[in-house]
Amino acid sequence: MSVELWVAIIAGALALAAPLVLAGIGEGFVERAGRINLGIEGMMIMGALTGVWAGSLAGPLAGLVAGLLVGLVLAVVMNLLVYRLHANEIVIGLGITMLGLGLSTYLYQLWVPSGQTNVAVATVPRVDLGPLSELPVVGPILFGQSPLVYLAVVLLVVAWAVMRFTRFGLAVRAVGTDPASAALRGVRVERTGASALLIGGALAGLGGAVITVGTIGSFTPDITAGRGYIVLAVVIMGRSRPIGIALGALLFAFLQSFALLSQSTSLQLPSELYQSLPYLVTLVVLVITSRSQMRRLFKTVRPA
Amino acid sequence: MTISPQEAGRVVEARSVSKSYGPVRALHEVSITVRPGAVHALVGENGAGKSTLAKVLAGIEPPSSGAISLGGVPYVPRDRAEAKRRGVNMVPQQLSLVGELSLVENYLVVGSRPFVNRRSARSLLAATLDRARVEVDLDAPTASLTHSHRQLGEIVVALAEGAHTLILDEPTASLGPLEVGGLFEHLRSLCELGTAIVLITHRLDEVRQVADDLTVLSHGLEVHHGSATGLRPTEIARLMVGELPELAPRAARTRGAVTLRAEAVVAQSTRDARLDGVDLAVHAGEVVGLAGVAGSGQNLLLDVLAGFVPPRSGTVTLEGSRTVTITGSRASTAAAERGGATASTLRAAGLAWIPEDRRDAVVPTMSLRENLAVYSSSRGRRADARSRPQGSDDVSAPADRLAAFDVRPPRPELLAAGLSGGNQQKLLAARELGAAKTPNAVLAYGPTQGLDLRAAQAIRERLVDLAADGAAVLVASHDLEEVLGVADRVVVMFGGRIVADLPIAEATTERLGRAMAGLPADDTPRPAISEEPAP
Ligand SMILES: Nc1ncnc2c1ncn2[C@@H]1O[C@H](COP(=O)(O)OP(=O)(O)OP(=O)(O)O)[C@@H](O)[C@H]1O
Ligand SMILES: [Mg+2]
Repeated sequence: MSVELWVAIIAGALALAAPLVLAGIGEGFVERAGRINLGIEGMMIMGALTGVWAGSLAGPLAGLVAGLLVGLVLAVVMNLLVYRLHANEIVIGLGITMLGLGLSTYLYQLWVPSGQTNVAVATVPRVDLGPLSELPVVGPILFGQSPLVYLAVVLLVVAWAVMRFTRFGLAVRAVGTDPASAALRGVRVERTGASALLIGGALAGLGGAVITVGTIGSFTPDITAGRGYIVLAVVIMGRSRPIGIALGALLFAFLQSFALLSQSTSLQLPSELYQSLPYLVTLVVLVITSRSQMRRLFKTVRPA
Repeated sequence: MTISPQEAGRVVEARSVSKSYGPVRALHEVSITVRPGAVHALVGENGAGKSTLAKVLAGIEPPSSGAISLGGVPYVPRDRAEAKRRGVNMVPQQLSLVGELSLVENYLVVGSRPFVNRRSARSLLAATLDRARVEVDLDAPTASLTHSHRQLGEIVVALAEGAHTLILDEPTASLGPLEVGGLFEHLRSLCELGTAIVLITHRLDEVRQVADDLTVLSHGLEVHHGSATGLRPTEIARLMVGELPELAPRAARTRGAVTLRAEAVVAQSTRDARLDGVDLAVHAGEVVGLAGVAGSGQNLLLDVLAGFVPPRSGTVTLEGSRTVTITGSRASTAAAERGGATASTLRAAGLAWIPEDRRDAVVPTMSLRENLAVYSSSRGRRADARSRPQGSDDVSAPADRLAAFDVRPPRPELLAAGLSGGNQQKLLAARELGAAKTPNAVLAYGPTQGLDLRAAQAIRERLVDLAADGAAVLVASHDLEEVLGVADRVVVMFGGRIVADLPIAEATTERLGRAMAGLPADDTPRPAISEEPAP
C-alpha cells in the first residue's frame, strides 16, 4: 500500500474518532461519577437527526447546537426517571437507545418520505491553515482536518483540567467511589451525579451531530451503527481517563478507516470481514484491558 | 464566664429536640446549650442518642420535632454544607473521608469556589497539623492511611475548615495517649479563642480533663446537665449507667501449647510501618496484650498474622484444626497466594479477627443476621456485599447471639446502618467472639473502642473466657488501659520490633511507658534498640 493511502487512512481515522471522543469524554464523567449511560446510542442518533434538521434551516453551527440540546434533554429525562423516580438505570438507558433509534427513523420518514431524495446540508467548513496543510504527510493528517477534530482535542484537555483543577472534578471522583462518605462530607451527591449525566448527554448529542453535520452532510436511519456502544467500550478501555478514551477511540476509528479505504486494494478478503474488524478488535482489546484492570483492582485491594 | 455580644451570636441552643427513626425513638425532648469558649462533654451509653443529637446540630439529620437556634435566631440547616457555612462543623463517628481522595482533596471537595488551589489548601492543612502537633500524610489517598491517621486527618480537615462550633463524635476512640494529649491541648487553645466544642466520648477521664459543661443522655432522654468541673469519672459513670457490676474474678487458666507463632517476621506496608524480625508466640489459654505508640508496627503485625499482608521473610503458623503456615519470600505475594495460606484459610482454621476499623468488617447495607455470616476479605477497604459468607450464611439463633452481646436492638432483620457506633462494634464482637465453636486464636485490635463502660467490660470478660476455653488471644490497642484490662502478659513494640515482654504483674505503667518510648528498661542497661535513638 502506498504512503498516500496510509495518510488517507490516518487522516480519516482522526475524523472518525471525533464523535467517539466527544461522546466518550461525556461518558467518562458519567462513569467516574459512578453511573452509566446506556442511552448514548439513542442520544447520538437523535443528535444526528436534529443536527441535520437544524442544519438545513440555519446552517451547520445551529445543527451542532441542536444536537447538543437534544442529548441534554434526553439526559434530563433519564436523570429524572432513574435518580428521582428510581427506575432502573440499565433499563431506562437501553430504553432511550431503542426509543432514539426508532423515533429518529420515524421522524426522518415524516420529514423525508421514502422515494424523495435525501436532504443534504452544508457541513462544517474547514479552516484554511494555508501552507501548513500542504506539508507532506503531516499536512493532511494534522492540518487538513475539520474544526470538529480540533474541538475534540480541546475538549479532551478541558476534561482533564476539569477533573484535576475543579471542585466539580473532585466531587465527581468522590461520589463515584464513596457516595456515603461524600454525602456525609457535605458533597451534594445527587446534584453532582446529575451534572455529570447532563454533560454526558449533551456531549453524546453533539457527537451524533458531528457525524452528520460534521462530515457526511445527511442523515440515514441507523447512521450511528452502534457507535454509542463503542463509546461505552472505549470509556471502559480508557478507564474513564481522557487520554485513555482518546487512544481507544483512535484505535477503533483507525480500524474503521482502514476497513473503508483498503477494501479497494488488492487484498482479496470479503468486505464483511473488513467491516467487522473494528468491532472485533475493540472486543478483544476490551477483554484484555479489563483483565489487567481486574488485576490492578486486586492489587490495590491488598492493604496498605 | 462572661460572654461578649459577638459570642452570644454564636450560641447553639436546642430546645426539646426529638428524633425518631421509624418506631425507634433516638432522641426525646432533649435540650442542650453549647457555649462559645467552652468544651461541652456529651456522654451516655451506647445507643443513648449522642451521635443523633450531634447529627441534628450539624445539619446531617433533620429533627422530627423541636427547635434549634443559633445566636437566638432559628437555625434550620438544610444539610451539612449549609451548617458548615453557618459555622457549625462536625467530625462524625464513622468519619466522612472519601477513601480515594487525599486529605487535601477531602478538604477541597466541598466549598463554593469552582476552582481548587491545592497548594494553598495543603499549606493550610500542614499548618493545622503543626498546631495540633500531629503528623499525617496529606497527599496519600485516605484509604491507605491507618485508622488512627484517618481519624486525626478528619479532625484536622474539620479544624482547617474552621467553625465557631465544632462537634467531635468520639474523636479519641482510636487514638493513643500522645495524640489525645496533643489534640486536647489544641482544642483548649481554640476554646480560649472563643470556639465552642462538643466532645462525645466514652473515656470519662477525658471529661474531667477538658470539659467545662456536661450533658448525659440515656435512652434518648437527657438525664443530667450541668458543670463538668469537679465531677469524678465514677460519678459520671453512675449518672450514665447506674452501678457497674463487679468485675468477675478471673477463672484460673492453664497455659497450653503455642497456637499462634510468628518467627523472624519481616514485613513492610506501603508506607512507614515495617516489621524488623518479630518473634512472638501466643499460647492456648493466655491473653497477650500488644502495646506500642502509633506507627510502631502493631497494625502491620496483626495484618500479617491475619493473613492480609504477606511477610517478606519469616513464618507465621496457626495450629488449629489443621496447621496453617505462611512463609515469607521475595516474591511474597505470589508465594502467599500459591501456598493458599491467605486470610480465608487462616479463618477456616479457626482464627477470629476484630479489625482496628470496624467498617472493614461490618456491612452497613446488610442485615444484622447477614452481618453475623459475612467475613471481611481485606483490611483497608470497606467491607461490602462482596465479603463472602463464612461456611454457610445460615447463623443459628441470630437473635440469641445478638442478645448475648447486648446488641441493641437485637433484631436480626434490622440493617446494620441503623445501629449506633458502639452497637456496631458489639455486632462485630458477636460475630467474631460469639460463635458456638471456640476459635483457636483471636486477633483483636481495640476490641472495646466506642463501647460504653458496661459493654467494654463484657467484651473484656468474653475475651478472657475464650482464653479459658483454650483460645490463644492477642489484643492490641493504642489504649494501654484496654491492654492492661485483659492481658496476662504484655508485649511492647517499638520501631517494628518487640522490645519488651512482661508478665502482667511486672507490667507497671512506668516500665511499659519506657518500652513504648523505645527507652531501655531501667534494670537492663543494654539499649533495647540499636539504630533508633529515643525521641
Ligand atoms: N439510621 C438509623 N436508622 C434507624 N435507627 C437509627 C439510625 N441511626 C441511629 N438509630 C438508632 O438511634 C438510637 C441512637 O443512636 P446513636 O447513634 O445516636 O447512639 P450513640 O449515643 O451515638 O451511641 P454510640 O455510643 O454507640 O455511638 C439507637 O437506638 C440507634 O439504633
Ligand atoms: Mg455514636
